[in-house]
Amino acid sequence: MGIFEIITTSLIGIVILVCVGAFVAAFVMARIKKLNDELQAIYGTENELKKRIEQYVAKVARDELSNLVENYKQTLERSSGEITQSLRGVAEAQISSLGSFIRDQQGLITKQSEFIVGEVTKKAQEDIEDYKKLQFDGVDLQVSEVVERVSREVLGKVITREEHERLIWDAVEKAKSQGIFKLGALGSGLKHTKTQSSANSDHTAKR
Amino acid sequence: MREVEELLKSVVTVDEGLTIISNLERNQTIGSKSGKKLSAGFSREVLDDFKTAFYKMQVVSLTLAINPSKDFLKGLQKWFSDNLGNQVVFYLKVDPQIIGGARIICRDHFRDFSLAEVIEKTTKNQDEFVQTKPEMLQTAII
Repeated sequence: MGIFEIITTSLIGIVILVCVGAFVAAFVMARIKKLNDELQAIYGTENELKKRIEQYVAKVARDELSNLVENYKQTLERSSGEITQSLRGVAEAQISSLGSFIRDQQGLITKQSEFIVGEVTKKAQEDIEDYKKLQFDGVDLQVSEVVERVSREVLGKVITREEHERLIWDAVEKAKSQGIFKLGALGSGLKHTKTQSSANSDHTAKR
Repeated sequence: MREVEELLKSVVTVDEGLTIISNLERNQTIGSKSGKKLSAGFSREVLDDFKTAFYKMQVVSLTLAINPSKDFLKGLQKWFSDNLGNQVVFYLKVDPQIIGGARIICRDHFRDFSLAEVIEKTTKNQDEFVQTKPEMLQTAII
């Protein structure tokens, strides 16, 4: 073979290769174009694609954020519920404690008031008794003076206390001798005496 | 009960007994309101026993011209208790107008041994004598 043949062969081979290459490239380019078209058909142009991706990302972010917020909200609600419960418990305990304290204080005040009333009443009673004693001592003195005056006017002499007591003993001895210790018609007792006292109007001395 | 016996021994007059009952009941009332126990160791039982015994005591009504001493009354109480057979309490009245002696009411018997009664009887006898025997009085005067 000569060079010309070689060159020719080479050229033919190159041409063939170029043709094949072009064919392949065209095929590939067509394929790529087809794919691009398909992709574009599916996903749109690049801008649309970006927009879709952005939307997708935004949606995912929104969902995640929403979940996060929801979880946080639930956690917050749970915590606030626990805190409220705890505060309510503390307040109830304090109110109960305060109520008991107030009841105890009221009881104490009542007891103290009753004690004070009792003491005041007792003191008033004592004062009344002292006054009565003073008044009756005065009455005793007046009675003694009257007895002395009457006895002096009637008998012409003063009867001493000893003489009075002797007269009383004489009276009771005479009463015994006349049989007054025997039971009468009605019997005896305090009820009978109260009936008698309503019929008498003499002055009663107290010691 | 010992407290009841001691209280009964200390009572000479009806007024003293009623005062003791009133004081015991007052202490009881104060005690029951405050929830405290009664003072001086007295209980409802003592009050009831004292009242029962006190109301059973024999009562002798005495009207005297003077206010007698506690010791004299105690002596009289013992004398009456010995003669009547059970413990006696006095319903005491003081009336200076009887001048002396005593008016006694015991077991529905009434006796007046006062000086006023004696004087009145004596005066009445003299008046009767003056009215019925004037000639004897004239003779006595002459």
